[in-house]
Amino acid sequence: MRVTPMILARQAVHFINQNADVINRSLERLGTGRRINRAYEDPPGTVLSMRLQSDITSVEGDYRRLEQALPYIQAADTALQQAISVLQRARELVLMASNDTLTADQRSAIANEMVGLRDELLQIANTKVGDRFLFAGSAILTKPFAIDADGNATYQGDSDQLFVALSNGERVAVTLDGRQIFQGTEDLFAVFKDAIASLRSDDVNALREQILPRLDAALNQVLRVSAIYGAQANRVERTMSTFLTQETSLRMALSPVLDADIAEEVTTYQLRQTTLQATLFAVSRILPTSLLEFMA
Amino acid sequence: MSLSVTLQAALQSLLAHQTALAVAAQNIANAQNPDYSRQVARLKASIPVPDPSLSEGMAWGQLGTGVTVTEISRQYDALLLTALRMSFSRVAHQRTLLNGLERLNAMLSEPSESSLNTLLAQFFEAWRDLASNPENIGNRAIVLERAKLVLSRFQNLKSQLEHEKVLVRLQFETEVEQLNIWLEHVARLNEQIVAAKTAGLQPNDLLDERDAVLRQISERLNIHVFEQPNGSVIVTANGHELVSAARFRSVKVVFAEDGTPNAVLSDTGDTLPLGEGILAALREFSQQVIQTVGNQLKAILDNLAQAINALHQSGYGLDGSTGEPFFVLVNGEWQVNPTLLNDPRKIAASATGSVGNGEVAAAIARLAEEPIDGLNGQSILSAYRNLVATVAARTQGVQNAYDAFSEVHRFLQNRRDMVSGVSIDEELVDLMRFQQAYLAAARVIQVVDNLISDLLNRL
Repeated sequence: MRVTPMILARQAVHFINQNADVINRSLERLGTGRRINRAYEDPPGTVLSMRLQSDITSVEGDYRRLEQALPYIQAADTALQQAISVLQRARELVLMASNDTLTADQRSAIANEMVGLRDELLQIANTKVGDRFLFAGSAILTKPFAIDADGNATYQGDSDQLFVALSNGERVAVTLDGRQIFQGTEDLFAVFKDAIASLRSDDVNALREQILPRLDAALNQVLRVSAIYGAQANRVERTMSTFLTQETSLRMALSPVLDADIAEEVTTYQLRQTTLQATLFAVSRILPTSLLEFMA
Repeated sequence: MSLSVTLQAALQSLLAHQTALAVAAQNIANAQNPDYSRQVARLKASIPVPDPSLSEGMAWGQLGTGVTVTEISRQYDALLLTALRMSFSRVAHQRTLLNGLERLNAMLSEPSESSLNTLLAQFFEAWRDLASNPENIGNRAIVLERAKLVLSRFQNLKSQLEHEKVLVRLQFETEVEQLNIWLEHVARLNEQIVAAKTAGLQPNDLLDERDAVLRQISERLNIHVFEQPNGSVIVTANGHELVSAARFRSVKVVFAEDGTPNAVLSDTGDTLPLGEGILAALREFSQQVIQTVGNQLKAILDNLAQAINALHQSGYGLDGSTGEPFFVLVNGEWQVNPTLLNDPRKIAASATGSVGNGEVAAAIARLAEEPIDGLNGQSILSAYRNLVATVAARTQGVQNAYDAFSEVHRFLQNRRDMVSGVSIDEELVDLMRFQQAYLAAARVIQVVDNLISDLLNRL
């Protein structure tokens, strides 16, 4: 076979380029720290990393949204606990007042204390964190409850709720429908109003026969909601830590797809560097070799 | 008689080897010329003369009269050249496609943190944030900003694709212009070669030049070359005769309605099937890649805007406004509704009109991964991912094809050089051979001269 200098030169350039190309790619991967620098280097890997990257954005968003909502959720939970203790205190007072041995004056004093408790309950029902009223349903900027001079309360919120939207389509309630809690089957403010009226009118029988059962019903009403909401509030923190774990595992899944394996790249780099040097050495020795060298 | 024949033979040897030396020198001179085909001086013994001293009875014996160079032949393998021309078409085709596709990959710049994929994900996240904080003006402003970023990226891609299309058109026109010049060149060379051959000459350099030009043509277009006995070639492209003897047919560019460039024959107006090569690759890139990607991006944006608008128009803004679209078409381009930009409260996040309801915003956020009929049941994000995957896979395929064809091409080029290339060592050996032959002939002349002078001196 005839080998011409052109063939040698072509082969030399080809092998030098081939090695230089691998070194160049390896250098690029080392420089950027990324395994895929162009989509066509690994099409399935590119699509996977795009998918993982948007999933990470979503999970980070979910975590951030829950983190932002957490103070509201905790405040609403606390408010419900407070409402329960107000009702429990009211029940104790009414129970005490329904004892026949109490005087009318004493009952009147209890009535005053009941007025205080009712105001406290109103305050709880109007709990506001930041700009948001927590018991106005989705009418979060509207003060939900107002009491007129006669002690009748009106609800100005709605029956909707404000939810945190999660990327998996689930929702976590932040605000609550105040009517369901404070004016459901039992209107808490009406119970207080009637209790205060009965206390003032010294109607022990009404206190014992009507007010006490109604207070029990009211307590159950709030407890029911509180149990559900409280469970959700507890879950939120767990969900948040799940999101953190999810984010970590998504990043761990993304890393081998997108990140350059430094050790491997350095090895490739060095190996190819050696090959390139060997090629260059051979070329520098072979190309100038000619019969001319040996002709006198 | 016989001394003068000897002298004549020696003289012919001097001349013949001088020519052979000249051919070797020419070969050495063109050793690095890739289009040059090695030439060889063919030596042949001269016609012998009848010699009386060799007569035997009635028959005359014959005496050689030396050597002559009968032809300076050009070393080439027609079959190999045909294969090489096809290889040039194929490699140029893949190289042109690869160049375009690499630019397209750079445009899409996936995977990266500033790519459309990220922008879209962030856009939908902004809606989800708004759904969770519907009363917050800040979150509304973020939705608007993210929407503007997404739109500007789509528009940026669109204008880059249009720019790319213009570049491809320009390149196609330039290549066709160049093609016409080469075709004319082949016709002219045909003429010169036939003239030279008729005059009994061996137009080696013209043949080399024609091969080089034919190679240039095959980079642009698949051609078949038929050599005629008189030395001219007929060049056809997929059955259409482009060059025959001294005639050539020029090619011109016409653009289809969608801007796809086509090559047609100027005289008949027939469309020229391009086969493989730069022209076919440019056409393919324009039609199948740029056009398709542009259409797909447009479909994604249209469906995104329409789906968001449908939801948005059903919702209520903080100020109770309803029925407002989120995106509006201005001169065929989607823009964020200026009414919303002026007053972010009008963004309809609420399904009920209540401040704390973010159901519409949540529904818009869910659009990201919801199947959409207009996108063949793909979601916005997956449609875009599929687009990137298709482009990337296609580029990878072309890259592999290019690598493989280049490998074959290098092999063919080496084969060609084995036949037609110049080996300097070989020429040096020839130089020594011819030098020796020349010296030997000179010695013969000296010997004859000595013989003659001896004879004269003794007389």
